[in-house]
Amino acid sequence: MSNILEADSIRKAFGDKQVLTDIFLRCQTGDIIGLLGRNGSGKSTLLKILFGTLYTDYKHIVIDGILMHQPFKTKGTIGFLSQDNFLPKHLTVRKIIQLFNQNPQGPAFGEDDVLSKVYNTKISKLSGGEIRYLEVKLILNMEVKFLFLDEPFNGISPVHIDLIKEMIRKESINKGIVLTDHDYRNVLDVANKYMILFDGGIKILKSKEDFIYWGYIPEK
Amino acid sequence: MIRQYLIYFTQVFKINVFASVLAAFISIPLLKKGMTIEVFIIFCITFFMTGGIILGVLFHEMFRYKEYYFYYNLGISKIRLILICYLFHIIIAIPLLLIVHYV
Repeated sequence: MSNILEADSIRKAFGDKQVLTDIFLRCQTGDIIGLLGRNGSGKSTLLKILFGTLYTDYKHIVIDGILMHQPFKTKGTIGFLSQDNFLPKHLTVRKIIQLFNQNPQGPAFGEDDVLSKVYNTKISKLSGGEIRYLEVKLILNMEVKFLFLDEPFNGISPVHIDLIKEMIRKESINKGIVLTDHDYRNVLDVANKYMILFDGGIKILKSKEDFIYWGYIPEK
Repeated sequence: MIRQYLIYFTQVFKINVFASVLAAFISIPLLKKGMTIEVFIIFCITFFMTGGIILGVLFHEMFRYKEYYFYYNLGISKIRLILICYLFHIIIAIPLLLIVHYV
């Protein structure tokens, strides 16, 4: 079944600075939307507004025809990978997986070379890359309609970046995915649609020339 | 579902207990004449239900605010988390107050 998320009229200002102006975004099952933009362009802000954890006066979010003010409160709707590490540090990997209602011995985690070695280790004892890998995997395995991934490749080793890309492609069969990352090459590689946040607005990118035109990548 | 709330509760609870006992000790010189074990414990529990929980939540808000996304992904809002946490504290504190009062 295909699910559709439509967000319209999203505006957000921090003080006098208008970060988002009348944003429209449409995502459906099978989409992997690469959301690009320079630092401070509002990528994370937009994802948080869509998730429902950042307040704004103006937004209109409809998922499968239902108007939602805070989609995160509706179970099975959206999973959100925050750009910061968000797992409680005093818990073990096994406990965290169980709290996400996932099976530590199941195919997703039981056969994972990285995580199977650290099941009984507390999050505080893991390396930054291991924590990020665990977070990405937990979010990707959530039974939801849409996933927002804010910098999923941050701090991850190149070998595991390929694993994550493969997982993203696999999950996109049943989910709509919006992802953003500063390493645009990874975004370009895994996404099948591209958008850029520029001057508060969102533009759809179709070719490499568009990336250059909007000043996201250099001409040479 | 209660497991997720308990994680937040235990984090706030630890800070709260520490703050409540500390506040009671600080209050000893102020309540010098009337200070008994009973008054000390009642002060502790009263602070535990009021200022202590506020300090516990503020501590989380300042130093562990990134963890809220753990709860958001489980469908739990910040307000709901704090309210349930407060309820857990009341469930512990009221019986303690009754025991101190009647025993």
